[in-house]
Amino acid sequence: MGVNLKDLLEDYGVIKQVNDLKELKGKVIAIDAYNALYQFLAAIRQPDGTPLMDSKGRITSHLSGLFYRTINLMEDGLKPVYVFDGKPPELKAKELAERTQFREEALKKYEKAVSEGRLDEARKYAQATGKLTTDMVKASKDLLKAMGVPYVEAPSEGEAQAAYMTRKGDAWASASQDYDSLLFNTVRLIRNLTISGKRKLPGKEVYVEIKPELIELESLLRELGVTREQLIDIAIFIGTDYNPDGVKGVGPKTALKLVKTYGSFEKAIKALPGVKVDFNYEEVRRIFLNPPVTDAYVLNWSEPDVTKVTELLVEEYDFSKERVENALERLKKAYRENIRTSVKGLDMWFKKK
Amino acid sequence: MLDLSFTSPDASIWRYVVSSAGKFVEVGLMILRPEELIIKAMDPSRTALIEFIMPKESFEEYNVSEERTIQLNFEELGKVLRSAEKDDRLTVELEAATIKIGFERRGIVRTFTLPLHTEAGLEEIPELNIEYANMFKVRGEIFYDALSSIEDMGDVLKIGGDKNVLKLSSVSDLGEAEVELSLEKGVLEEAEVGNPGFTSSYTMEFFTYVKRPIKAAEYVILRVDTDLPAFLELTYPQGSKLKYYVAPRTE
Repeated sequence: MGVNLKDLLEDYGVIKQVNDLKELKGKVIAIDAYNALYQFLAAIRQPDGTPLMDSKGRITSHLSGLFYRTINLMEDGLKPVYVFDGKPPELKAKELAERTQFREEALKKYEKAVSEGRLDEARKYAQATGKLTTDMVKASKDLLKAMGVPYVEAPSEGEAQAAYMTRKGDAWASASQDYDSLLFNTVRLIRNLTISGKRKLPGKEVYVEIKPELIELESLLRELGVTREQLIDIAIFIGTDYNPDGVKGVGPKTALKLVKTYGSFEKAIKALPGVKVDFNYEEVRRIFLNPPVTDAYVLNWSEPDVTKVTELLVEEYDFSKERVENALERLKKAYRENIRTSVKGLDMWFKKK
Repeated sequence: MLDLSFTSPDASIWRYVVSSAGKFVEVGLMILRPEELIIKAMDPSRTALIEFIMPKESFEEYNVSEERTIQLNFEELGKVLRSAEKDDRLTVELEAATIKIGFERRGIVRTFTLPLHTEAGLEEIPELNIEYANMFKVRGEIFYDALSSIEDMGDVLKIGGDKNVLKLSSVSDLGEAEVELSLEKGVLEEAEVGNPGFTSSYTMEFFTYVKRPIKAAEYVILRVDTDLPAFLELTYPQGSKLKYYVAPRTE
């Protein structure tokens, strides 16, 4: 889930809308793979909430999303690299247990709604039931490999690794729905990258246009008037994956005020009588400041292997042959025009002011 | 209250420019100055920049007393201009919140009123600064024919040249088509080649977008060099000019 900084960022006007993905042409984007796959799993479903499945009953929504959305991104000239999570930090155990419980409850509600014929509600609950299995993750990596799209195995949190890649200059931005990327020090965060487009509001016959959003960490810190360490302290107040409950009664605006007034989480806590902190905030801070990351990756986009993609999607998972073939033609064109050769952009010839 | 107005004797060139720009960018700027009117836009990926400059003298009437910049939505404007024909008189009137566009053909006046988009947050489009060693001048129709004959062959346009010769070729995995325009055969009007043997590649579709303005132009002046943006300057009667830059492709 990650820390919820949405209101704070909106209030301070640091979210820039990306009106056209072509604005990001030629840029390497490190995508939080688990985050994207869960988004596909939640969104790509039948009207009653059933995910896409093959003839053996195996879920394929994640593969469908990964395949078609990645092609769309490459057609717009983006160079995607997917970053997969490794071993989660021990402090995340509580959050992960809560997510499992949430999924189990959603599954019960889903089954009840289906049996009572309440399809709209069933779909809503179904979206929260998705669970990525080891096999699903492996198939996703196999698909990326066949498509010629690189992926990186993070030692721990994928967002931390993606953020590190932006700091090294290997990626222009991270892409994730979670604001945690900012706490992990990403240079830029893009939200809604893998879910942009027309989306139906749950339970309503209303569609909204979701556009990607760009948040630059430097301008965020400048606008809020805090350091990155203080931003982490604000997040600790609100609640993160490593202390999901945060500090009771303290929301984003109060957290910002407290950290700006007292300078740090511990000083603010000391000044608040009666407030109990039942988590190790120093450890949470350490995870954000010094996460395990790796340099053991190679970013290399290659010609898609049409045979392998077809074997995997059509023969193994029963995708429509015609649709896959058409999409592969688009992928080959996108690779040829935007990846193998690329357009420099006029920027380097602009008159200096 | 009427803020400013102008009347152009030929609406069709407006239609071509707006329709071309609308193929690669949604919005652009209209910069109105007492001495000239400029329509300028750059595509989001910064691959192409288009600038249409009309001096005050190219208008029948031109009432602009101070500089003003407005945002143009090419899609909206393109719909209005779709019916514009050569010799239609185009009248534009800007008021506080609306832009009124009128066409007059054989005494019949059609008027369209569109909302004026906010002027807040208009992003300046930068100027380019490039020195070229090579220049070719060719009639608009000839350049149009040359492009048309090779555009379907591939997605990439390769431009190269030697002394007095301009070569346009279209490259794809299937093969290559080439057109040669030379001074010797009277196809080129002028050629100055400071870097013989130069070659550079561009995305073909960015040239296809501006085919109509190219066809309508008296002359096309092409400036180009190895791995530099291609720069087309199209000239029209009454002194109007269309400047168009396309960024090069690299392996």
